[in-house]
Amino acid sequence: MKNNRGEYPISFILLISAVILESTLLYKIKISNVIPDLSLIVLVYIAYRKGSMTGQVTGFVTGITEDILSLSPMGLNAFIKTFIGYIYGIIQGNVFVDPLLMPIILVAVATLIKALLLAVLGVVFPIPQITTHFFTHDLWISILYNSLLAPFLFALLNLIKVLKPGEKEIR
Amino acid sequence: MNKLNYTFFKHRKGYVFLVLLISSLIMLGISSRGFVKKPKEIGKSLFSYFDAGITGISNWFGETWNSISELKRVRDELASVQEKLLEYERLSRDIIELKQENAQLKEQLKLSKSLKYKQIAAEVIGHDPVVPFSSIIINKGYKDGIKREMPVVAYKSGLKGLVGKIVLVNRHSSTILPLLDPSSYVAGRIQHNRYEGLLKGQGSGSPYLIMEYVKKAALDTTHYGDTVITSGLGGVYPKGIHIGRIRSIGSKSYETSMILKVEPIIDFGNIEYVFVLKKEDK
Repeated sequence: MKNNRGEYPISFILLISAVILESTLLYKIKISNVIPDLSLIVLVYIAYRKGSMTGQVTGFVTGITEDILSLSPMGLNAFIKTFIGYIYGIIQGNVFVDPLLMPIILVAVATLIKALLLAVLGVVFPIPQITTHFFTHDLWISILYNSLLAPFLFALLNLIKVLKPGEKEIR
Repeated sequence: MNKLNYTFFKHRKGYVFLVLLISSLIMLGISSRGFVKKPKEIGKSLFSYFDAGITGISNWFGETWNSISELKRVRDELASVQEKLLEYERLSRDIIELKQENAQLKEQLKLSKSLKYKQIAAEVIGHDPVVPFSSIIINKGYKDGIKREMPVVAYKSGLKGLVGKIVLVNRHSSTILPLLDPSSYVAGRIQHNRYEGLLKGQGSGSPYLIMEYVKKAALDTTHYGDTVITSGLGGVYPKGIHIGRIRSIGSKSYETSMILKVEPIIDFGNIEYVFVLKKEDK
């Protein structure tokens, strides 16, 4: 039996705290207008640990929170984070995640997927902020920044018992 | 019936995925047309408490840490400030006299009185958490008299520089659309030759504004470093507020206007306090 107790509340608390930190403290350590996408890193971790159902639901809630705090149109980040949460949930149990290299690769790919989805949605819906921002040097800094933070955050998140996969999921 | 339940249970992840994605797209479609302002405002009100709390705690630690060295520096500064104060008192008396003289002359010339603005000081408590967007969140809302479309300024090196305008107002917080945002447009004027143009942001990725529709006749009298101020056209921003300095001048032979690159006076990455300008009631 899958042990789900507390995984959703803990995930929501972690992700929403990450979004609030992005909007306040992390702004002070930005590099060339890029702040680390803490919520994306945490979402990747949760999705790969707990599967696509948890990944997509927590992704959706995180995205909505970002949409509320940002000037972005409602639904933009919800779409992106739901998609990433689902996709990364699929790899649960199929990929061995070592403490260093895989977190870097997983988060780098997630940042790239986010940028691609932003670009696509920016074309479909008229969002002026996005069309001027695809594949600029900020994207590469963002990929580098997020991926370098990933191993540290993954190591920290490994300490949270409720986010560890249940018995059935390990098999 | 059982088979239907089984099929649903088996593919529930996929169904939930589709429902969430479609909900997001519907919201995005509606939101692009500006219908979902209300839920956003309620949500922002809620999160502004967290933003203000975290900014307050971080500022408290930072200020406590710095206060010891600050105390010594303040003591040294006090002496020099006292000297300056005497000088400013003399200047202040001169200004009062000049103002009175100016008012009398205006009265004689029958010039209409310029609009007066009250400044509402506010602290920056948050920034946009999503990278291509660049909004700024402040700790004053409609309880403090703030309304949408109010201009926002900040001071740097003694100059009053334009920050942007208010776009969302909640009870205790508001959101500023900064000049750098691509959806921000400001009517500007080159201070010394008085030629006008339209300034547009290029997003948080670029530190420059683009000033378009400046008549080519201004080419000979426009120079690197010239100051650009608000022209007052459009009615949102009062005239005469510093926007930035010209950093490049672009002119193509087949175009009737030129394009200028303007560096804003305000460093948007380090704003801590701003002033919202409120028209004073007559």
